Amino acid sequence: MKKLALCALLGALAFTPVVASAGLKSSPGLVTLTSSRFSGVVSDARNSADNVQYIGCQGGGTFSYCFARNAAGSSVMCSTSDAGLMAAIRGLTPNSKLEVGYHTGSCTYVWVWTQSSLAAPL
Amino acid sequence: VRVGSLLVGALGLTLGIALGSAFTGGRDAAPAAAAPTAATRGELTRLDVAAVVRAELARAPRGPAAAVAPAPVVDPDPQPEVDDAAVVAPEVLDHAARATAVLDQALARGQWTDADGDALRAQIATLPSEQAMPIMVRMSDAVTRGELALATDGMPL
Repeated sequence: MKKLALCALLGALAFTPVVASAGLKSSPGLVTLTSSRFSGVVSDARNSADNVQYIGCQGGGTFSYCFARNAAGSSVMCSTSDAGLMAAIRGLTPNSKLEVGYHTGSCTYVWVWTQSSLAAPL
Repeated sequence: VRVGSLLVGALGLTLGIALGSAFTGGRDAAPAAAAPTAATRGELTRLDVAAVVRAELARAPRGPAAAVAPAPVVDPDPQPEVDDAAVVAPEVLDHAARATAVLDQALARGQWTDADGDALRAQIATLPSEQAMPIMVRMSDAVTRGELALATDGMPL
């Protein structure tokens, strides 16, 4: 009986990392930062288990800003009042992949991909 | 004598008729010579137009100076124009100053907290982009440069 319980425990422990890994999808590069742009999938960053990576945009009526933090903890932020960029930001959904160009605090472009394949697994 | 008188009379009559015919023909010919022309009807001929043009050209000043526009009139006492759009309401300036103070204090600490985000958002949310953007761009650049360590849960604002 003890042997059976031990086997069950070992079996459960053996499968646990696999399940956790599949749920995390936190491969390096989930949020990517360079000196001129940053990118990532909004839902993946939101669901990242490292609780560090983050990417998204927010804004009000007159300006918006975008922000990203990678797994290493480096952060990038840019702001814009450009009507076209703000329209693109308003189009963001949890299934969007976002790429933002920046220079000295200003967003230079915003590129949004939105497709179902980018949705986070349930 | 009677025959002579008759001959003289006939000759005079013939001469009178001839003279009368000549004068009458002259009067008849006059309308043909003085047939209504354009000039006589009050209209201009090409010659008239050419003459007028020549006269006008002769009166016009010659040389490049003729094409130069007249010098603009200089207002001796110009008044400064007031652009209503450039006038910023005092409350806007007050919000902008408060927002700048929040950022300055965070930069002095080197850290950006959720409380900083709340305080900045309260001031900056109502600002026009002309006042908000310089503050936001300055903060964004500070975050990117690592001058503001983020201690927030998620987005900075």
